[in-house]
Amino acid sequence: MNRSNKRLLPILFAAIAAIFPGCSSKNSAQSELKVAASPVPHAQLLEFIKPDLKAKGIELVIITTDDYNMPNRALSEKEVDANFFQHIPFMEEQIEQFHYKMESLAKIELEPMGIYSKKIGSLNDLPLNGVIAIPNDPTNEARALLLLQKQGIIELDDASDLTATVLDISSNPKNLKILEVDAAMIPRSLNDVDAAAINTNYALEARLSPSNDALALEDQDSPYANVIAIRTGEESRSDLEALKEAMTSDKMRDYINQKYKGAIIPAF
Amino acid sequence: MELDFELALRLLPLQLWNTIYMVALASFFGVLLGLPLGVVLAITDKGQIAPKPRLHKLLSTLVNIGRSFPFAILLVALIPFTRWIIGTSLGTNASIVPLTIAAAPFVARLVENSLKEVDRHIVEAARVMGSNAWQIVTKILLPEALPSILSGITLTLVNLIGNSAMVGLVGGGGLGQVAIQYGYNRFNAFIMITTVILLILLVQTVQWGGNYLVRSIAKKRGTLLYE
Amino acid sequence: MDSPKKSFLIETDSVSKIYSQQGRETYALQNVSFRVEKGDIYGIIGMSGAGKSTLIRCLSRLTTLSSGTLFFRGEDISELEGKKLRAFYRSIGMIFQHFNLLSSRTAGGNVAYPLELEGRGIAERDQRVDELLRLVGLSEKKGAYPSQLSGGEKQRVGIARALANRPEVLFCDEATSALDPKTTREVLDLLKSINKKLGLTLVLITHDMGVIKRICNRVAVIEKGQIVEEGPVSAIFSDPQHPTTKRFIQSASHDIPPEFFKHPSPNRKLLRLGFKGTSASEPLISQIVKRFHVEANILLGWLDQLQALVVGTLIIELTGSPEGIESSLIFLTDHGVDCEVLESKEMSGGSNGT
Repeated sequence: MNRSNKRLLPILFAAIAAIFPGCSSKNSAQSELKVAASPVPHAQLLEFIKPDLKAKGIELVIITTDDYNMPNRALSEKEVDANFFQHIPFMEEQIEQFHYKMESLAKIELEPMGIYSKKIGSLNDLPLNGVIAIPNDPTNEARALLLLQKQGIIELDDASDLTATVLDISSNPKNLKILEVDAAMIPRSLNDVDAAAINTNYALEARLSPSNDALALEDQDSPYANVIAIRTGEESRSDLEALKEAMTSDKMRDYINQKYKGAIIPAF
Repeated sequence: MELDFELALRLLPLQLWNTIYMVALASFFGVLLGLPLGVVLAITDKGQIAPKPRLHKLLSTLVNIGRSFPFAILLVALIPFTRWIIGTSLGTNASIVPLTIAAAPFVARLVENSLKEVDRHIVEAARVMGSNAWQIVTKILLPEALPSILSGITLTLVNLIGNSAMVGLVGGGGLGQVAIQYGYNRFNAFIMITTVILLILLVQTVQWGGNYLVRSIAKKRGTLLYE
Repeated sequence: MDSPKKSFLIETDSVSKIYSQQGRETYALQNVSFRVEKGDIYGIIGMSGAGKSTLIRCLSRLTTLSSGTLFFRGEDISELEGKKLRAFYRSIGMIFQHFNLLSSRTAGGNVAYPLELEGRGIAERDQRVDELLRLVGLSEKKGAYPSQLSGGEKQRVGIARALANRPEVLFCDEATSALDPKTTREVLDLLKSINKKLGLTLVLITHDMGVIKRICNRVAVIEKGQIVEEGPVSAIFSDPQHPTTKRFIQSASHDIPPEFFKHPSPNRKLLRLGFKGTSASEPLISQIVKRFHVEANILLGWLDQLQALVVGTLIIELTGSPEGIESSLIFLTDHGVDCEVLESKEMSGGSNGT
């Protein structure tokens, strides 16, 4: 490399850094923190502490999605720095299948899955040969079945199976038809069933109140607390630590309790 | 790969039947609605035997709208209508409604094209013998276009088999739901492969059956091009 | 002299058909007037694009007239529509160049079609179908599909179908143009025999003068949408007036090879002589040689059979004095011979007149 080239290189790099801001390693004013999250309530909680992070020089960029596969893929491919939408059993399943290197940064909240109905007021009123709709994806299907089991409506072959399906029902005294339906679709079809198990985020979007409308709710022991997930080994990053601090503060606890009134409970 | 024969035996026979059941009924009703629609489209177009430009434009637009909907969206959009007809929006029977509504405009266009391909000179000869529009449709157009229409129905059946994969959204069952729920969501490669094989066999059978029918008609009429 | 309209089966009165394309108007037919009598085999001949297809479509009312009147059995059918038009259709028959049979039906099924339209019962239909197939000589092909039939057989089926409801007239749209010469003759003979047997009137269009020669009794020559000559076939053939007609007639006979044309001079002329009927049997050539001291070199000769009439043609080279040649021509003309001096290739028709 001759002398004229040597002088050219820094200019070239500066030009590239100016055109593509992401190339510069540290912008002295603000650094970006990208988090993928479900819209409700996850993105809402993140929005709440966004000003707090801004004051610390962190620009929180929230990317909302309803998809359950995209956030982990994006995290693994470094398109986002963290995600906030899933519970640990789901995360562990994804890790097993896709060999992601990720871990939980902090447990934040629990959205208790609930059983809802437009036709009956109490689970005791379930008719013989009635229809119950449950989510058809692996984690939520098991979660719904475990909830039904806890309420004494059915029994499973293995009472603690986190991968149960309708094929694992050992006892169904009221001979109920358990219909596997897409989780997001269930609120639309409440009119067509006697009862349905609905994830809280979908229930909230459908303007159902877990505390008022649910015939039954998961309790705090549930293994399904939602976590902020990050790539393995990055827990000591200062921006991620700030995020964790903000999201598990007393201010956040009060906010959750006040805003969601028991539909969502803090898990920290 | 674990060879989960037990799970396969528990799931597949029933869901294979569900797919066949849904697709057969949706095709039947789809043709019931689509065939007359296609006939009207064919004869009311410009230069055809009963031109009615406003009617043709209206129906053509409706058919285009029906064809524009991605099937998953059609499923959701039709929920109130499905509920009104079947009484529920969930399950296998309920899935027949959106499948039929997806099939009908497709059949209509295929029938329209088939009828328009009938040699116009033959239609003219029928006209100069004093045929009215109904006679031309039933005695000339439909019989002459029969092989083409049967091909179109075979295409529709295969199309519906594809669409039926989405009805898992509303608990409609079928091989598609199994493939997605167990094969894709639960990463059960064995189930995934067996459902795909079954679907391939189903499509092959339908296509073979359709081809056989068309060939035998062409043979009888002596219009078979290649032996 | 005007006969009352009722005696003509078909009459056209100043019929015109205009097509407008991109703002321009073209006259496909212009002031066409002629009459067809019951029992006629009426031929219309013209080149491609002359308007004969348009004309037969107007006569059969497959298309509307732009102006003028069309009479059928004395009734004005120019503006018929709907049910009345369909009723008219049922009283005519039509056959086509490409036969237009239904591939989905057997020969018998095709012939039965018009009977179904009339609502005839199955037994009655079957009987009539057998009758018609016998008439056209295709009884053993009743169960065959069109794809299994030859061109000539297909046209016969077309004829049987067209006759099913006993029409008064049969329109033939270039009915033999897609057939080989032998089959053409067979089909034409069949049509002629049907005309004789059933008294069926025929109106046909063609570009082939041979067709006209073989079966027509009257002919109209059409060019650029207008009738340029019209009349009995024997008259037109032996004494054509219009250049187009002459071109057609020559094409029906023979083309004169170009070697025969040498430079014209006053002492030598190339002549075409047409002999009709009796004049063909007189030794007129030897007489002019003796009387006017000319030499006659016979280059080419042929005979045409025009149904009952025989027309002979000779191409001769006449050499002698200008006066002798002149006198020879006068002599021949006086004896009923049609004389024509051939100057160049153009005059004897280089094309086939299609």
